[in-house]
Amino acid sequence: MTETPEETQADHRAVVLFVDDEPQVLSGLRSALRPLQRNHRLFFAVGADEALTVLAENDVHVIVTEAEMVGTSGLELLARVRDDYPTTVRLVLAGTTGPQELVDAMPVVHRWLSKPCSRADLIEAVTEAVHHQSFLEPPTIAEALVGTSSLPSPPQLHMELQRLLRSPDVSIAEVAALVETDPAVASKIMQWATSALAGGGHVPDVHGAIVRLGLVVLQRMVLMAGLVRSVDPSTRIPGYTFDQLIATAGRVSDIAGRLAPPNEGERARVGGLFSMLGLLLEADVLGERLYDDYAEAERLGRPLIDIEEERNGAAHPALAAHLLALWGLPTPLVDVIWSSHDVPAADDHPTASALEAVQRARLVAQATAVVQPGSPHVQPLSEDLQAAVDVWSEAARAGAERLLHG
Amino acid sequence: MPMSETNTVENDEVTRLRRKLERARTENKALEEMIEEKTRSLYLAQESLRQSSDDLANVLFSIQSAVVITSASGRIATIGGTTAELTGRSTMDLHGLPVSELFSFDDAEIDEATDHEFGTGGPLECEMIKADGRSFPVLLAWSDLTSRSDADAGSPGSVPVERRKRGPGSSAGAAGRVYMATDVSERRRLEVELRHAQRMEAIGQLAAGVAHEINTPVQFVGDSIDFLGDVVDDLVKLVTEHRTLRSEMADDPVHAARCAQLMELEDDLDFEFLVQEVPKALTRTRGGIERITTIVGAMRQFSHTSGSSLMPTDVNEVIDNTLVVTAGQTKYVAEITKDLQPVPQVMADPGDLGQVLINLLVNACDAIDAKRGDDDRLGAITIATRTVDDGLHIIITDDGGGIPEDAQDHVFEPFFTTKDVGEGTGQGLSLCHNIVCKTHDGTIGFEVEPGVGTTFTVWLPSIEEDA
Repeated sequence: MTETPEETQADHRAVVLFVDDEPQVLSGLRSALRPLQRNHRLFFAVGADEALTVLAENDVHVIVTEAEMVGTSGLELLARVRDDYPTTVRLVLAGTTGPQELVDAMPVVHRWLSKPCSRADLIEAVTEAVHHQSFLEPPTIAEALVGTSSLPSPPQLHMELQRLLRSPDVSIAEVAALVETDPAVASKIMQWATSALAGGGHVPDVHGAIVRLGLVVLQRMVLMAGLVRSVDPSTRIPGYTFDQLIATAGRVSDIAGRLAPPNEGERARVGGLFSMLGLLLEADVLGERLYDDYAEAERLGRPLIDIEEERNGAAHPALAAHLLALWGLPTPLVDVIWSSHDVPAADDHPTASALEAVQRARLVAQATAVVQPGSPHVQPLSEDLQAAVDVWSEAARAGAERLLHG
Repeated sequence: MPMSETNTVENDEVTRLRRKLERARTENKALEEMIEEKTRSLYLAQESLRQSSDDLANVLFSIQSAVVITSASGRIATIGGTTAELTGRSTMDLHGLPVSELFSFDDAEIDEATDHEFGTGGPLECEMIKADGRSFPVLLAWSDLTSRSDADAGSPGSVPVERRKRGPGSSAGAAGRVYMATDVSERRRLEVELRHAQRMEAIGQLAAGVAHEINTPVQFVGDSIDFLGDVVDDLVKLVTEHRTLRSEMADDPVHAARCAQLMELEDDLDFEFLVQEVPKALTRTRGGIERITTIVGAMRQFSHTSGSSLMPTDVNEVIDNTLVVTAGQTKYVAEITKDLQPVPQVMADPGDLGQVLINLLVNACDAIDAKRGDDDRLGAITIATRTVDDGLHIIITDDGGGIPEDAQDHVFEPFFTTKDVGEGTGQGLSLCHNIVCKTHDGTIGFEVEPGVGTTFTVWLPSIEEDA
């Protein structure tokens, strides 16, 4: 294994490890990624064994490995990294990208890149991964986020999806309609469709993602890669039942789609669907802390996200954004999730962006939601804002009418 | 003689005669009854014979194979089963025809495949010949008949007589023969398709492996080029500074000699040329690598592993990929013009659709090549896409002289080929037809402008909107 000569004693640069069984690939990367070295310590390991030595001796933030290697494969290596170094972000730079490779990779890979990968794309992927990994403090959160390879779905979804995929004349639209009711599976499908693209084109929405993957691959992902993980009955979310949370996400998605400016409808719908992902994630992996923060918010009569922000430095929308960024979802979408719980300006102009549509949709959904006023999930609204929400509500209804009656 | 005596004698006679008559009557009646009985049983026997004859005739004609019965001389006496449909020849046409004109076998083959103990034979693969001279593959089995006179060539429906076991080695003496031929062209077609699918799967796996082997060096070559580009920029910057310094110091007597040497070296190495040309060389290399990447990417389209899976597909993208992959085969024969318009997505299997396009393009090239002979002039192929009401058209036009008229009716038939033996399998267009019509619910057709060229049009239906 070799390291770049720039290493210094007190080095706070992020550590990135590249692994391939062909030394020439590593030499090529080393020379091409010279611009990265200012802010990163780069290691290059030939094969899995060398990689494990580097991992043992350094706090590696991001690993980038070939998937197929002589000896221990890259995916086997990443499975060990997942278990032994749970805060290390796992990327693949693969020579072959086929359906089976993607299915095998799903449980252990955050993001899949295909050779040949341009220098710009590679630098972007690595810096993004470093960015979202190193922001995660304390380490328990980093561990929880980097260790999350799937989110929980309603128990009946698995059967329904399987049944649908088995029927011989199912259309992509039908499958998309089902997947769009579930933020967990929708986000995984977006992750893998984006990976499969490896830098080319963009995946606008769940339907587009399923088109990219194809129903055959999707079926394999459901059957063999555990794409759907049914929620553990013991999982609890303060203030919501599991089904209420999923239903609320669906509502926000629906309203956001109707409020969005014409060219941003897809992103608004997806952003709305993912707007509750952070709560889902926290309930799944940080349950105790979430309950603690919720109790504190209740006691003080303040919104949950403010308490989370103060106590942990990041509220659940930010965690969701980090997770989706680690999964390589497009930055504009991640940005929407990041700011989805910010309060929009109280005016009745048409929305200017997907983000604004999601923010407004959240407040409209909140006005008619299952959670009671005064709940830590509800943002208190000024009079102006309350009036604006009424207008947006009306606009959403009118949007629905328009859809219904052409 | 007393009266009474005479009377008695007469009475005795009368009685005797009467009895005799009575007996005769009884006998007569018994005879009549017997005759009637015989007649009835004869009638019944005839009826049952007629019935079984009808049954056998029905059997003969409901067999889903061609049945041909010949006389001892080998001429066709009777046909049954689907002989008429399969060959397009009527009973009248076939009657008396030597059986060798209906099947493409030779006597030696038949003799070898016959079990002479039982007088049966087959199965033998051979061709059955249609009225128009074309043929199709059949599986043939046969059985010798006995007690049949050569002269009486029966009418349709007449029943072949019992089969006879013969002594070993005896082959003579057969009164005729029943041939049963089963059409296996559908089976052959499926076998060919299966072989094709297996070959495609193997090629697909190979392509995936090759892609890995190519992508890896492309990655490090690309990375190295990027690096070299950076380095050249940096070095040029550095040398430019040095040159400035050198020209500033040229007048300094201490350094003048050294500076002159340097200038000479710059001239020798043609520094200006290097500065101009190295970036161009790098750009060129980068372009080459991008081309390799495109080709490998296009190959991926064809590397699907098994089965057809329809997905919403951009046909223009499939065409682009196909042209990249076929460029090596087509560019010395024809110039291909793309005329692609934005078309809606259709449900298609990109790999299969690419197969269809490759076949059509290669056929077009072969036609052009055949027409131009030794001439090196490039032909012209146009590939266009158009949106139509219910889907889209892919239109491929060549100037290869057009499909000959006598071949036009048969181009989509399996095993039909106008190419020389060894050049084509005759599967290409038949496969295209299957892929387009069966897998994709589309249509494929062509128009010929005699002496000019052929235009193939593939129609694919648009995706059905969900309610």
